[in-house]
Amino acid sequence: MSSNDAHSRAGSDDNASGSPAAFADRPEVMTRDDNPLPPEDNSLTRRTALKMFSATALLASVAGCTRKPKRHIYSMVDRPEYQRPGIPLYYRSTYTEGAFPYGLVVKTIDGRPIKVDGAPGHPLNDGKSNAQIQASIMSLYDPDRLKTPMRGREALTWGQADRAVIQALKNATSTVLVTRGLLGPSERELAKRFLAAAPGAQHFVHEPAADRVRRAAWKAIYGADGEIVPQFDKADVIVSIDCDFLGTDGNAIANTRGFAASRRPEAGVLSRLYVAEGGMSITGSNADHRIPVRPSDAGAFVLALASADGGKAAAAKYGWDAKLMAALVADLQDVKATGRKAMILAGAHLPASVHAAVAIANQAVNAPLAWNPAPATLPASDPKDITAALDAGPDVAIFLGVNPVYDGVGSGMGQAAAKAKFSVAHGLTANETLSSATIALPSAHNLESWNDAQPRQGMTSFCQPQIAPLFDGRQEADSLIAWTKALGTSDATTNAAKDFHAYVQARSGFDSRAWQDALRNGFVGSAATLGALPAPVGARALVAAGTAAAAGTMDVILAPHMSVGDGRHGGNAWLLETPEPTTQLVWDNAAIMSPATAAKLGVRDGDWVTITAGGATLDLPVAPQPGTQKDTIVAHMGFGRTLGAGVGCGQGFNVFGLSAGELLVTGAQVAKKSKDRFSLVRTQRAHDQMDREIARGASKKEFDEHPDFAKHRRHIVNNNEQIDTPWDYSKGHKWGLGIDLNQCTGCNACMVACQSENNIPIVGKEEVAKGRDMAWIRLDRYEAGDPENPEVSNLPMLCQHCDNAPCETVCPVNATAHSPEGLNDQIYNRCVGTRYCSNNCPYKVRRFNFFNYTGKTIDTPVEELAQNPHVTVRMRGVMEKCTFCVQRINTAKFTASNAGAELKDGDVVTACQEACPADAIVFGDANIKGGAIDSSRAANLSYHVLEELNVRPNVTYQARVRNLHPSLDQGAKKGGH
Amino acid sequence: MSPTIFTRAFDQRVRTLLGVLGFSVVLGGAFGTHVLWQANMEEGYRPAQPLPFKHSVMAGTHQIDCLYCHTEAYNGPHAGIPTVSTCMKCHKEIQTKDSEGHLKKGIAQLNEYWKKKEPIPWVKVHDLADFVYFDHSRHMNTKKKVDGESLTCAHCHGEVEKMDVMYREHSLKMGWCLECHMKAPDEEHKRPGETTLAPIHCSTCHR
Repeated sequence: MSSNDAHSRAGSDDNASGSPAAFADRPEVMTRDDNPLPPEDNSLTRRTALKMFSATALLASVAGCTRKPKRHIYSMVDRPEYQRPGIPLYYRSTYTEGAFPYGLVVKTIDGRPIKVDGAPGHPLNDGKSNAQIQASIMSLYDPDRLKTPMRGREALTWGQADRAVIQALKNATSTVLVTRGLLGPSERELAKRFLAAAPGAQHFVHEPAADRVRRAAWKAIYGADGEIVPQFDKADVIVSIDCDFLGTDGNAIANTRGFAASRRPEAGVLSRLYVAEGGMSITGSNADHRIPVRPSDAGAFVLALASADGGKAAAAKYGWDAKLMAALVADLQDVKATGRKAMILAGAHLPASVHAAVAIANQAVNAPLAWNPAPATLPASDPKDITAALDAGPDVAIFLGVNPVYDGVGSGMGQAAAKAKFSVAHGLTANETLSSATIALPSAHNLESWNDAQPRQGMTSFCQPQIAPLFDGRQEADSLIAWTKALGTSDATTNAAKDFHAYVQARSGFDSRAWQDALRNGFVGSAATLGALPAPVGARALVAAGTAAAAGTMDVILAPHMSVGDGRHGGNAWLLETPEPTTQLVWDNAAIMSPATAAKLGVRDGDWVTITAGGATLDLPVAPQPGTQKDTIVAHMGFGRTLGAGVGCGQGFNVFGLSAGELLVTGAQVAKKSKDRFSLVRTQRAHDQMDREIARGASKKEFDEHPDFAKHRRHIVNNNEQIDTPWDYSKGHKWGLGIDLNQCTGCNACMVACQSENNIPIVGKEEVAKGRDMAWIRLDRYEAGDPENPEVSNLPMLCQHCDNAPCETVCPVNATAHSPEGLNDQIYNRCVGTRYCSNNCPYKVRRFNFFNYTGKTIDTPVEELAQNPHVTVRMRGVMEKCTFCVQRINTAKFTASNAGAELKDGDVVTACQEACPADAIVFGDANIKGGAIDSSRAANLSYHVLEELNVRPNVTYQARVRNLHPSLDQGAKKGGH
Repeated sequence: MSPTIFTRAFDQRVRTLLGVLGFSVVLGGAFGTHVLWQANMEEGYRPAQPLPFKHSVMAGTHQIDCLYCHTEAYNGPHAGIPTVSTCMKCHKEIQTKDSEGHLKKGIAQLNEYWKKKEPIPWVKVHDLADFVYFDHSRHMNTKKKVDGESLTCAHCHGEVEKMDVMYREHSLKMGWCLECHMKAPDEEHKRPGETTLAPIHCSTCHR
């Protein structure tokens, strides 16, 4: 398959709304037939001419108001195989923008990708995705992408750019190549050929947020390079030490899936998660027991786990909860006796000694850890080495997909990049590094590229383009091929390859048929090639008695952000407006600290503090977050971009200046800074449930005593009244959705999936501050108990499609009405925007388009391509909300009816359900006995939010059971029944 | 001379006000008429097309099935319009000339599009609003009968085989759609719980 056979961009379907550039020079095609101007007549008097002029002007203006514009419908010249107007085609591919090459299924309609999801069966993500994967559609159609090769401000052709680069390479005696970490086998091979051909070439891997320290520690401990793959579904006890495995540490999709699989209380499967952490992460939010531990004390914490006194001395010394420590130590110590499995995980930013101690501790607890001897990513180089190589002033420096001028400011790499005599940078946008390079080259997007990746030994995942490059982009590997060939290489594969597509195909060794099959499947080879964890032979040597942190200093964790990562997604508006799961901050990062510390420093939310560490200083606004350890500050990376990040430029603050590449900064001094306050914006401002029992939960003991506790938390007075309805819901379909709070981790994948599927606009920081965010599904977060270490509950909230819907009765124009299938339909073309419905909604899930947000944020034709053609794009002045993905319901119904079949359970999958890595969401027809919804509603744990209002929601929640240690489990907190 | 009750300036203001009011009435009337006139015009909307293509020749004289060109009517939401290559399947051979031996205008234009590999910019005749999601396949594949008859293309598109230049036979407005959808159910092919011939709830077409 060549890059353009199945992905032709020519032609369009009935929905063609614009006019292709091809017709711009053909006025006869575009002229309106109803030209209102009268023919010229020399006999006209001035008076009649004026009359006619005003009459035609009037008519023209009236016609302009009422008549729909003439629209074209373009035929294709020739139809690409399989392509049918308006019917999606799905292609497999591989995600290459992060550390893990997840398998993708890309939905394309009429030749343009509109939705990205996980590939079922792929060993890394098995059909599931995360917010970043979902948002890659947005970065594909980003109008800020670099359009052409540039030398300074001068646009070049690719030929000119290549000639300049090759000339510089030929004259060079030293070359520095800096790449990202995820390089597939073909790219690695190619890099090797390039290094052999280029004079004096060195290769470095730059990944500012990678687990560089931990990976090096593992190499020393286990004797070989590799990565630990935790098997969460096999663990009974999980201890996380600052390891945000559900958020940003490791393969969070697989981790979430495995963890969720171990949290099924009604099936009798319930793992216990202890989290000892400095900041409040989403892993900590999901913990059964959480201990705020300063990262500097992590080593002492691991040693305390094996102590004979049950951690009593350490707890007293470091101020940890002694009872909880005793329970944790006891839990781990009787693992072997009770035949259970426990595992201890340590965060990527912790020092090698902690990982060594953890490796030893894991030996004693039957830890279900597997070993991947060949990770998909190359180990990141030490930033000091890269800086030194660049500081030496190499003749040529090549940056492929990395941005050291932004994220290397602390290590001096950014400044050193300018010392190269000739520098080339490849990237999607004219970011900080591209803007300062001699030659800036536009890359092709992941969805426009060929590639391969090796997530497991003996298994290759393939990436194929879904669309020809929208702008004049070329993927980095194509540049390497061109340069290597020009420099001269003896490698036959490189010399024979026309481009990287040919190179990958040639290296695969497949004939054309097998190649097609591999692309159709997305990957080849067996997934089950993980090895057993080697013995930690090098651990003893690394274990060090941790030195206590200096008094009066603080630890700063530079954490990758859940959405924008290390900054590579810093220009993606969808991700910038996705709230950070714990603080729920949008469009910004901050110095996240405990409320007690903030009080001690005399600062409130939004006040400025100055962090000083190792000679570097950083000013950040304060965001107090309950649960943060009192001597710890969390600062998220990825913000403070200055160039090439579109709407992300100037949002938040660049925190990389604080460290020379370490993710944990110790010995920091924090002081209040007198300066104006900064406005930090959150999507949710109150986190107290006010005894309304919205997100319900109970301890294991209470669940064992009252398995249906969730049904008796509210006093129901009268739930018999029903709104008069013409429909009989017991016949035909009755749609319902179920959310299991035991599974949901609060990762926000559903939010971005919904945004992509339903054309939801972004509104910007100022509008979010006014409560005008447009998300149809949101993650509500509630905190209870000790404000310094609260118990957290997450609750995805979306339109509940109530059968007694309060919104419907107040709409004066009947723009929201119930369907016989139980859907609360919102009819945009009928809505006049009174907002009565939103006022009357007890769940506050209706969203009002105050301004023409879509029109405001989409001002180029290329951005329009990201819109899902199966969903109406809404205007200003219109109320909108979750539709239960009615476009998917209709498509599934029509497909079944056309085939003369009945819909089966599971035929309709909503966008949020499809994305959810925890499988927390089920959707289906409640009238199917024994179906997904029927069984979700029948579950003991099921309940409706605010059921006492008798609005009869069609979204069922299952209450969360916290598997507290028996010695700490008090049972029911309040009387049931 | 009558006594001056009002000042000249006041008189002037009254006259201006009356003039503006009168103008507004005329404007409103014109606007209203225009709207009504437009509504009537929507049935029979017959825009000029880039090619002198005649459905009356293709579907009428030559009896070519609708699906030969509009291939996807049974398969998906859009019936589809023929690709230029579909036209050329026949017109590679059929290169009709006029009495003077010149290629007929339409054929010459078609050849030109084919040579340049350019799409033909047809003007939409059956143009629904963007918030309406009509699905051809559901209407073509249904077994339900309208007044005892199976649904055909002509039910909505009229007698296309008699049209020289394509026009809109029916208004395709919501009320017109509902005329059929709200009929009594076809007892033989009724779905459980159905009280009308076809669904009439909003999300059937709006989403």
